[in-house]
Amino acid sequence: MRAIFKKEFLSYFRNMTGYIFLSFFIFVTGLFFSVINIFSGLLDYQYVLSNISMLFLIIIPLLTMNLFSQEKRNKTDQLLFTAPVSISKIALGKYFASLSLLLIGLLITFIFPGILLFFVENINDFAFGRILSSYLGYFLLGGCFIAVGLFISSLFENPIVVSIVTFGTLFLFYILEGLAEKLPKDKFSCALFVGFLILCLCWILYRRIENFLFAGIFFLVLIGILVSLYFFMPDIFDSGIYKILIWFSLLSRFNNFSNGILSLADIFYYLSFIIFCLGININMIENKRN
Amino acid sequence: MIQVQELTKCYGKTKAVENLNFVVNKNEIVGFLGENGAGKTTTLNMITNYISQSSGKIIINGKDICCQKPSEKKIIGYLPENPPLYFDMTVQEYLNFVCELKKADKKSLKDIIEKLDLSEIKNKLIKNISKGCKQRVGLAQALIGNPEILILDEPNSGLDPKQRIKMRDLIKSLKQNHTILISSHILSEINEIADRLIIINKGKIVADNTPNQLAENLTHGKKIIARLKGNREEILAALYENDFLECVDYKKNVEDGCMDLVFKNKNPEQKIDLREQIFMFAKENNFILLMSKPFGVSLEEIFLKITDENEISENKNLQNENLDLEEEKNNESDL
Repeated sequence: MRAIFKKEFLSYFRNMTGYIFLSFFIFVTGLFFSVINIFSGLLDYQYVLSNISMLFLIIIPLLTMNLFSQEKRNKTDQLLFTAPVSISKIALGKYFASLSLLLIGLLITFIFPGILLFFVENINDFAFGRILSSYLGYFLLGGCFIAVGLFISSLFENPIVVSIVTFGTLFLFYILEGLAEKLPKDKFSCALFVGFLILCLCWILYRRIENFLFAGIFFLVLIGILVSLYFFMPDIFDSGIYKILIWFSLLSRFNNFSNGILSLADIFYYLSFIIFCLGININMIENKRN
Repeated sequence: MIQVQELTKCYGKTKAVENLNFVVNKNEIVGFLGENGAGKTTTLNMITNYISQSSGKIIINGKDICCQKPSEKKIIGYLPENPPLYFDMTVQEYLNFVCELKKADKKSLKDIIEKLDLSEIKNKLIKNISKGCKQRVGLAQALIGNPEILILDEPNSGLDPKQRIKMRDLIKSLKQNHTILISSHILSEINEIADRLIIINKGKIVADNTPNQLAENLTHGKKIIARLKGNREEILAALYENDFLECVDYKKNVEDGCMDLVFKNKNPEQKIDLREQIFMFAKENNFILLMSKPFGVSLEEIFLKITDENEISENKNLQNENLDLEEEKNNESDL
């Protein structure tokens, strides 16, 4: 894993990606810092981090577009997958290389709250805790998005396609909350939505095991449970779509971090999301080799 | 030692490779030949565990590669058709990376660089070196970690004649410590290197033997080509009465008043020295024997003949199947 990490991390600086990422990230953070903190005279630095969270839409596709797709396009994946290293270590090496670059960018931006310290009359007024929890939330959110980008880069060979699909997927995460509010909240729509999810799940199962009978029976059992629940416990379907989509919203949890609420549940959620994305990424690569 | 048993790879309904069975013994160089799309690279990719097989087994040193731990992949060095190179690295950086990836001793890197003449280009970016050099860097990465088995897919492609000779000598020298499975389109190179040839056509093995044995099987025993000076009719008439020699082919007017004849033993059960009989035949009939030499079949001819024969037999089988189907249909309609 160390070799992959080192290679990936250094490759960011062999081409211009690393320099472009860092300069762009620091420039935009500095811009928001100047507008929010310097010109408006606010001491709350966490607003800067909340505002620049949209930056992920641009920087994450830039960081992850080449991770697996370039290996596939240049056939260098033949070297990696035939080397005495497991696929999980390859994926983790690439993931941590991207994450480290994000961490370096974040560490450099620590200079901005440092500047704010010069303007503080009473040190107790300065919200260190909120800033640190915002940074942690920002880092974890970035980690989740990198995991999504890494997964998408293993699906396509063309980095431009990877970056567009990554952008689209991340954008979906950003609008998820707003989208959830607009969707119908009645019980029947929710049951229909869950039915659609069951269909997707069974289709994936069928593609995985190639046994139509088993996948069909599994589908019928789940639909049976869904119908029974709909008739006997209809209350659980109330605003169901909203509840499901909000559960997947990464940003609503980030708001907790920005508000200084450090919850173990949120940290655990982000870590689980990262592990889940890396897991399906590794599984996808294994499947593609079959 | 590599053992391949009933190996099949399907892409959807297409069978890229079907029921392959072969063995590559320790310290043996085996040439893997086939037309484009015959299934060579697919087979090599499966042996190196780059892709998995649909069915069958690949056993390396007694262990099924399905149960192989990642660390056990060290045993194989693989040079794919397109060397897996990172163009933004220098040769030295790339080889260092492969060393770390394979957890190999970096001390051996110096020897590999010298062996493959990479000293002069080791500080150059890979994207700036020639195709031949890229091929050599690719081979260098396969040799890192001193793997027991080497799988080389077209190692000679892109090399100039001088480099080809060097590569050939290098592969020959590797035989002492390595088991090598090599695929190539340059059949004359393979003929020089390989102890044994496996010919694959449309995903199936059509021949597995030493080059000499394959030639002998094709020519059905030894043949000698001789150049005789004399009247063509007289030579053929005299040959008709000869009890030992059979002319299987001839070419007239190769030189003034000369013809080339390909002889074989008329009665294979009777052991005779063909050269002696040809000399006696010329002497008895007052022909002048200008030249005689073994009539060999080149590897290209072997390859073409085997793959063509296979296609013809497949076509015949298809025709027979179609005829059977038609007959069945006719019978049904009669009923």
